[in-house]
Amino acid sequence: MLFGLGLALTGLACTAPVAEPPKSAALPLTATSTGTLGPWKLRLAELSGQPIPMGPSAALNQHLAKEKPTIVAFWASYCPPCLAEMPMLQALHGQGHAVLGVSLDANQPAIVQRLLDERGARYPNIMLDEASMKAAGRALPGGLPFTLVASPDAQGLVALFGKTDRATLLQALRHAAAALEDRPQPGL
Amino acid sequence: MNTTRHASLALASLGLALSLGLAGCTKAKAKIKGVGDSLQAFIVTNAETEERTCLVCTYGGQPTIMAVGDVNDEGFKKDLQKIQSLVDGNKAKSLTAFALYGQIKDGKFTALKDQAAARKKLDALRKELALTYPVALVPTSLTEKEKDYTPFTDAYDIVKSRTVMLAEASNKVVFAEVLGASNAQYDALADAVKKL
Repeated sequence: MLFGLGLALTGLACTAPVAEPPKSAALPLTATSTGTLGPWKLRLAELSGQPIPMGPSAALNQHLAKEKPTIVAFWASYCPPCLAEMPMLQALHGQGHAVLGVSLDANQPAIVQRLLDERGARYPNIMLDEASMKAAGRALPGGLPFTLVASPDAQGLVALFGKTDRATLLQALRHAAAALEDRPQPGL
Repeated sequence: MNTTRHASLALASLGLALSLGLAGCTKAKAKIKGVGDSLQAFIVTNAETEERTCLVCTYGGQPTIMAVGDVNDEGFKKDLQKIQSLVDGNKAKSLTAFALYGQIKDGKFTALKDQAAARKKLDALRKELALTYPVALVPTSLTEKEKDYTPFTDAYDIVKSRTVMLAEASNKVVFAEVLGASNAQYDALADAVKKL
């Protein structure tokens, strides 16, 4: 019996979740910026490895929500804080917020899918191809994790550097929604 | 007598089970040794800024040289200068680098005990060598906030000073050697950078 208990205990230690629960304290946005994703010329691929046959910024556009800001979370398999954010992003997705994961693990769809499955992340995820990943590496100002709240036309409305949390993301979404409303309407 | 014997056996079984289970954990999280592995993220202290950060994450998506050395190894300083030349000459490839210091004795890497003194010494060294990339040291322990990371000494199998790894943009290690007195290993590193 004790033999079984020992195995069970060590088994638990091996499989203990790495994610931490969302923090309740609201943190100030670590940084904000605006800009377009278009110049990055990112080429994206579905997790199956199938390239998305569209132009650079348009390719991202098709994964963004049409009428509200989307949380675009850049991540990689080797980035523990990125992985730790996934349950929180999934919870936001489950509450109706638009979330898109962008993996920098070029050509490793099986690893990407396994990591998403292990963390219960069911929000849309896409991968960068190798060339785009290099471009993104140069463009990501502070490395990973990097989260962008993007407009439907792929404008970066809020950029968050480093590990983020639910309160910060909700604040960023409010900021982004206000920025969208403040935009001059065509013809006015 | 029988009760004592049974209890001893049960405890021995528990010990064996725990050992087997822990061995399983260790195997599941094999240390990074070299070519073909991916650099694993870990926390360092930047000697210049004193910031605790993950440089593998910071340089995610960029080819990166990680150079690990002993704080008393004079030869490592020359390596760092050569690596600076590689970084300077490969800006178009977005090549980045960082130096990581600790104590390497009897084939074992350990964090430097007097972290404050080491930070000052390493920052002075960074200035002296005119390095533009970060010089960092491994902290002695991780904070609660850093619990997502594996400690460097658990993640990497560094047994010698002047161990240098080059990871391509996808984070896969494509070069891992201990640089030596001759230029052979450095030339091999330069070749690996050329192929990026």
